[in-house]
Amino acid sequence: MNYNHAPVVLSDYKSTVAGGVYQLDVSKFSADERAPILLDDITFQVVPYPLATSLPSPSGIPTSGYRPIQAIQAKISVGSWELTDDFIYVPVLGALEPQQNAPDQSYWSVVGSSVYFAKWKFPHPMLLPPGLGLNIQLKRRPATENSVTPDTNGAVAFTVYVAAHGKYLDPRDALPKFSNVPYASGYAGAWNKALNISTQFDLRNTLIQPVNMQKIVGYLDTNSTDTVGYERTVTSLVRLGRSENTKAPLVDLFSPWNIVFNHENGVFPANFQLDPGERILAQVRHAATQLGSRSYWYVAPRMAITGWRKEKVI
Amino acid sequence: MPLMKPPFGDEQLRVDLVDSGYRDSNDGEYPFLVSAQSLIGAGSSPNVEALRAPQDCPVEVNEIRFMFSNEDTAEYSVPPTNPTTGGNSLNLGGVIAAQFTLGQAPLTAGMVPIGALCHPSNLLLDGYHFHWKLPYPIYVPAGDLIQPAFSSNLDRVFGVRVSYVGRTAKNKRRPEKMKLPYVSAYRGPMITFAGTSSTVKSTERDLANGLSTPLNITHFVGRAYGFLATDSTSTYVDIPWMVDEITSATLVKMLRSDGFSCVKEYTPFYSVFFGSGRKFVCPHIMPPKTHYKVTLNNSALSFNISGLLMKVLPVIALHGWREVML
Repeated sequence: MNYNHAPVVLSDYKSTVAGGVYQLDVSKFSADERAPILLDDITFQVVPYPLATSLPSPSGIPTSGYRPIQAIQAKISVGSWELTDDFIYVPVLGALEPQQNAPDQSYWSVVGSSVYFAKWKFPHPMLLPPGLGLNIQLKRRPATENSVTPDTNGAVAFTVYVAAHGKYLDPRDALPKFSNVPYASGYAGAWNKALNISTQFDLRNTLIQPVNMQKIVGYLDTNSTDTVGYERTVTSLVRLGRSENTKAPLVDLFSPWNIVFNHENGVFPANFQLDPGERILAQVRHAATQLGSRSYWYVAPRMAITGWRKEKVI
Repeated sequence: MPLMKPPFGDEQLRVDLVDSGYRDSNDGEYPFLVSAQSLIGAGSSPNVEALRAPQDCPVEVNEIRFMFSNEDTAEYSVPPTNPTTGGNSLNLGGVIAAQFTLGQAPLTAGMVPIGALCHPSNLLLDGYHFHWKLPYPIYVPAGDLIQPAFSSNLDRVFGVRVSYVGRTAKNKRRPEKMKLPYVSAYRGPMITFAGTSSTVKSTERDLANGLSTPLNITHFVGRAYGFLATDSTSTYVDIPWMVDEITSATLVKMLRSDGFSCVKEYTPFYSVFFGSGRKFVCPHIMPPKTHYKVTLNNSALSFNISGLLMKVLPVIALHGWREVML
């Protein structure tokens, strides 16, 4: 008797510096010739220091409001299958996960640990054909793009771990002729803007076939020293529509960010078909110019659409 | 039909719904909870008579609960505290283990650390209340018993209260077959972060299907506990806020007994056992007499707090179930 659908984890990591672009080892994300793999998800773990040296002392670990994971973007493909149309910020590609010692299940938790996790759970398992591997590129934003002031942590090396979880297909099973393949397209708004509007290069279907939309994920990137990020979800307003067609709005009127994007997981469910060339139009503005002692422009909106389509297995 | 009164022991926690006037629409089926206390490290065992199903009524157990306390005399002084400082709550999920059997059928492969058996109800303290929600209810024939046993690798006495929660099943037909849970675990030695490479490995007896039937595996659980390397009394001080940091450097590889990779490259502990449940959900069939072998490495890092070296106690378990004839 053999194992049936036994689990498998493929992984690699890179130490990153601000502004760097990195290629993960495709061979480490490849299916064995003997056994194709069905992948369920891709996870990201961002450690805000280099693992090649000693871990910092407790007092050396940045805490409040410091979310190094929001500086990391990923671009993913398998052979000719694009899983993302371009680099997408990790907190919207996946869903941020609570930390080990988080007091609740909220992904907004700001607690003692500065290690962050995110998981892109695929809408349906994706076949990793024998001999092919996930091609994953990582990008860390330049230090000057963190906020109105340069990222004081830009000089710190972050280690980014990427792991793909799945299961082996039974070698006796015939290879499927088609596979569901996830798809995501992102939008990164600018800092310091009273009104952010997505462009024709954002939240789009670049494929030649329709995408079955699953959800739109939203995340407000905050200044690295800002501890009131959650409150900003109240003063930020968002509006969503399909392309420029205002007759097909998803969120017709500007509405509070955390009402549109569920405050527990940042998800706006979106179950419809996005045609080739079509895109989602997003507008983000602010209801208030001041929150406490800080002005509103300490945030930058991040969004991604995620869904899937069927592809022929070659 | 007369209402049934379960024969709870006098010294046990009483949930006597009959006395409180409760009537269930399903005649003969009531919520059921039995509970018993034991001391770990003092050579005592739980009062099994208190955990037995009523003599005239089978029960279905769907959850097993644990609560730890300092000692018998201070059962309600929870969470257990560090004996040296009297302060920090102790992290008992990795150091106290339990095993359960129903008749001749094991529910666990020997002793399984509580933290790998189930999730603590309090993430922050992570230490003294645990609920094991069973994948399927366990039918316990009238007068029969899920036999518990406990062990600890601490040299002090703790109190543990174990409770079985479910429903009576007076009018249910005795099933011919039943889905019984099975958990097999690996509790590694402490991994010290002293700046030199250190590797620990499980054996073929850990994370194994030692049964003669295939196992339906539902998931793995992995938990890593951080400790300070100090004297013997304060070794088990919990450092919960540091766990994410230290486990980023605790790397895991896993192999199947047929040579295939499960975790191909060294991967951080919580990138494998992901999320707040610390689970790797992976439904699959595990053949009889097979195993997973895990290798853990400390990345050759050093890590200390005020000059005291950090250690990690890794605990990994596979959870599954199989069908057995009653």
